[in-house]
Amino acid sequence: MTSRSGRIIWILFGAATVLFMLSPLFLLVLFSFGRNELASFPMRGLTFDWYRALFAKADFWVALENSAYICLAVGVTSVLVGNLAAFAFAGLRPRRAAPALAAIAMPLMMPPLVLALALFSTYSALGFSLSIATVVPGQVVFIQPFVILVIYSRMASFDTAILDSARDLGASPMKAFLTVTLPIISPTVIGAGLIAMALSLDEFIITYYTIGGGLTLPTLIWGLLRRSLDPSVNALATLILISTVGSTILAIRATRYRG
Amino acid sequence: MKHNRMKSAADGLVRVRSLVPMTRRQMMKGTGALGAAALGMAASGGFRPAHAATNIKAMVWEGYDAFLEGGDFLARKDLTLDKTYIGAPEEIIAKLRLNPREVDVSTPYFIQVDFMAAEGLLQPLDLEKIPNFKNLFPAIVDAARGNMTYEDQWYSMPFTWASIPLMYNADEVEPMESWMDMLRPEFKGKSAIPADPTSVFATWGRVVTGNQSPNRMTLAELEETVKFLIDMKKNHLRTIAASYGELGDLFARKEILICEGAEWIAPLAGEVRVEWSYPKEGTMTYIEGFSMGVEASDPDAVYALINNALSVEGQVAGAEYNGLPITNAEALPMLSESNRATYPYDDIASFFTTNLRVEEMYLLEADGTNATWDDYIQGWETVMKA
Amino acid sequence: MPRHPLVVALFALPATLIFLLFFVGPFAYFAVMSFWSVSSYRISREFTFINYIDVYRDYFYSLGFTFAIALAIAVLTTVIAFAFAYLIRFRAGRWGPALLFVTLITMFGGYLVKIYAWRTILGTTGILNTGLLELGLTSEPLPWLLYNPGAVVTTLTHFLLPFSVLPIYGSLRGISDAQLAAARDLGARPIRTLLDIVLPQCELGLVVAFMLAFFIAAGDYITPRLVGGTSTAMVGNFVENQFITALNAPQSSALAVAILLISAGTILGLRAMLHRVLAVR
Repeated sequence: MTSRSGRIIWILFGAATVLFMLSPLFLLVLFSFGRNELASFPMRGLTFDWYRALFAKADFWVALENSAYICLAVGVTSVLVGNLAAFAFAGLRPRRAAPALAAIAMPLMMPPLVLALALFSTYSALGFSLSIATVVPGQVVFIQPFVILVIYSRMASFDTAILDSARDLGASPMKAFLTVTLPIISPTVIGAGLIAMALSLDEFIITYYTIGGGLTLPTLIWGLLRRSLDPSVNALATLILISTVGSTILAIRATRYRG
Repeated sequence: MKHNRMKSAADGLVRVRSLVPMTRRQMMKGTGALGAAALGMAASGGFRPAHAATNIKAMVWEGYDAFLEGGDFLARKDLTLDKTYIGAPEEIIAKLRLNPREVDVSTPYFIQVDFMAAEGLLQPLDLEKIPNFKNLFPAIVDAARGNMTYEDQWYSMPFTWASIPLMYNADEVEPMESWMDMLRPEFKGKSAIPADPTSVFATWGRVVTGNQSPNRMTLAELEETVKFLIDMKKNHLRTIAASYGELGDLFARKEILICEGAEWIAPLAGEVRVEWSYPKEGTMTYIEGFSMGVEASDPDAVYALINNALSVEGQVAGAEYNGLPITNAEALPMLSESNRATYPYDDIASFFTTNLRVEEMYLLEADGTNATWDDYIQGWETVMKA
Repeated sequence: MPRHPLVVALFALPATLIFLLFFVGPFAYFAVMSFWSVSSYRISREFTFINYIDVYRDYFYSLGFTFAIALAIAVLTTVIAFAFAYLIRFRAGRWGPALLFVTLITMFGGYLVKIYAWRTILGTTGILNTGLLELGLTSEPLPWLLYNPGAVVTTLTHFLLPFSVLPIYGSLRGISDAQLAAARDLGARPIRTLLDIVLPQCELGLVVAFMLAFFIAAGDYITPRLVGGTSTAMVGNFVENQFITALNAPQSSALAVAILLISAGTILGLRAMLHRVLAVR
């Protein structure tokens, strides 16, 4: 393969993959501004009506509030807990870390529905009353493996010689962590945090069975499926996307992330 | 049947007791065990107070909450609904069995109401506390009585009704007289049914076997129907729609021309003109009702909500939001023109008798010849698996 | 990184406790139910294996279908994800951060909403068919784009791709450019560099990416319902149907245990295979 044709193949592959990843997102944003009731071409002009319809829905605000609490609590908890665990596992020899990782990833090995039904049966049998507080640990147990795996796979390829030299030069463990380890892994930690929040914002089966009463954004959308989705759901997805893009850009800037 | 209810309570107790040792063991695993629970809870628990006495947990189909909230009832009474939108009516049974405190008001499938009452999952309703009951169309009350009462007491309050007719794209399809028309070659890959086994068996069981009580088929008849459905699924259907609303979407996107559906999905098809017919073999009708969970936290509030759902304001709000008919005769003049044109208010009685039937609950106990509820459920799984 | 065993244990404690309390405990209780049975719509606590016999008898095909489609999705996703992560890390230059950014935002937007977006693309009157008709590449809309297993694979691959790119990219970042330059200077062909240097060093990232894709795909049952047509019932459908509709929690539980066992077996097999492949050289 000549390097020139290799280049062209890489460009084509990159463009095709980006197109594959972005076209559904592009469409859902586009149709949130379209007059069409149905997401199909041709577009009949632009409108903010779907946003108005969304904001006029009392259920939307309730769901947004619940989702925000849950997403924040789950994001913070699973990043803290998952980071610590990833560090712990990185301190183990790979032969011993692997089974530990496999064990803690077990909640991923079955449909979330099973975890949801198991938690629901257990909470019920124990007589717990359900609320958004019972949703959080159920989501964390499912989401923390993602955080642990992503951070651990970064740590495993981490060149510890740099750390050792920092220690040799007299840095305290804390200082070595803050000045050497953290800057190197922070993009991964931020990535893991975003994954955790993306999963939490999207999670609806565990939430559905453990929340008791009350809607979250995904359980609201799930309910709306009974009558089929109109573009106000696109408006909702667009708002989530915009806030995500914003926070991702901020995160990348804050960490002076250069790829 | 009374002892049934006691058995269920006793079973619940046993279940709780058998779990206690396990919990203790868990708790003893480490002194930090409680800490972990606190970690998760504290992270979110601090945000919000535990729900106040006026929060009512409603487990309903999306849209049916509009009946409960009609007018400005919620603002007036300082009540809030903690809603759970269901994806299948049996979720209500599962939740009431496992955790009855989590369901104050719900919309069970009408055929299951007497079963749920016998199981002790629902509270008998005191009609004194639902004054709007006396305004219901007598024909609705008559049609609902069989399913919604148990030992002469009402367990569910009918707030809307309709049927599962043959729906078609009226721009491209002539009105159809028989369900079998859905299997014409020109509709191959252009038809659909909903993923609602009750209505599918009620509709096609009658077509296939000629049995006029399709919820009372023999095992042989059920098997014949299952075979038919598998053939239909493999050779004719575009898809099995996850919900009724999705059928409207399928019409709009021109994926289908004809389906087993519901009247209220017609407006969801956008520019495609969707109409329906009641085929000669018969059509299933249904009546939806609100029920009170056996451990409802605030029964008076639930009564007020149910009564509101049957009030003129509640009926109009819910009917217009859902495109469904009303049950309170007094709300009729307030309804939109299109709603009054869609549903046969002038002759409701014959709607429930001529070719259109409210079905009864399936047989619960096996007798060797006739299919039980479980057989129907397994039959549907067979269809899905094929 | 913590080295002292006590520190390691302390760091791992919170995650372990959450795991024990909210997974092991509840799942153990749920799994115990798989040895109970149901008669007259009520749970009876007599010990029985009947549910496992029924798993074999009634759900063998569904389990096979589910894991086969999950395998296809996981392989496809991991391959694309590896190539894309490789592109970001080694080939894209200053475009790298932009591609990474695209990957990150693709995670958001909502699972159900994305499924609907794919129906807009793949449907009979969808964007792809409209485009093909306009370009004259086809005279009739192609109905097979939607409502078949292919649509499930497309939709889920799209959903899972970003989750798979990130861990692979994470491990690729650990490979220094100097190593690759040295290999090239020593005359190694690109394919040898890939096999001998890049792949072994990102083995863990690949395994993680594959696992995520495989398990989420195997556990999913909403996507097949919405875009899969009439013959794509995944085993998750029956876990739900037995628990909820059939009021048969024991059968549902036995199915769940079977899923766990098959998943664990797949992962052990995969690791053994990878070790062998990568150790040969």
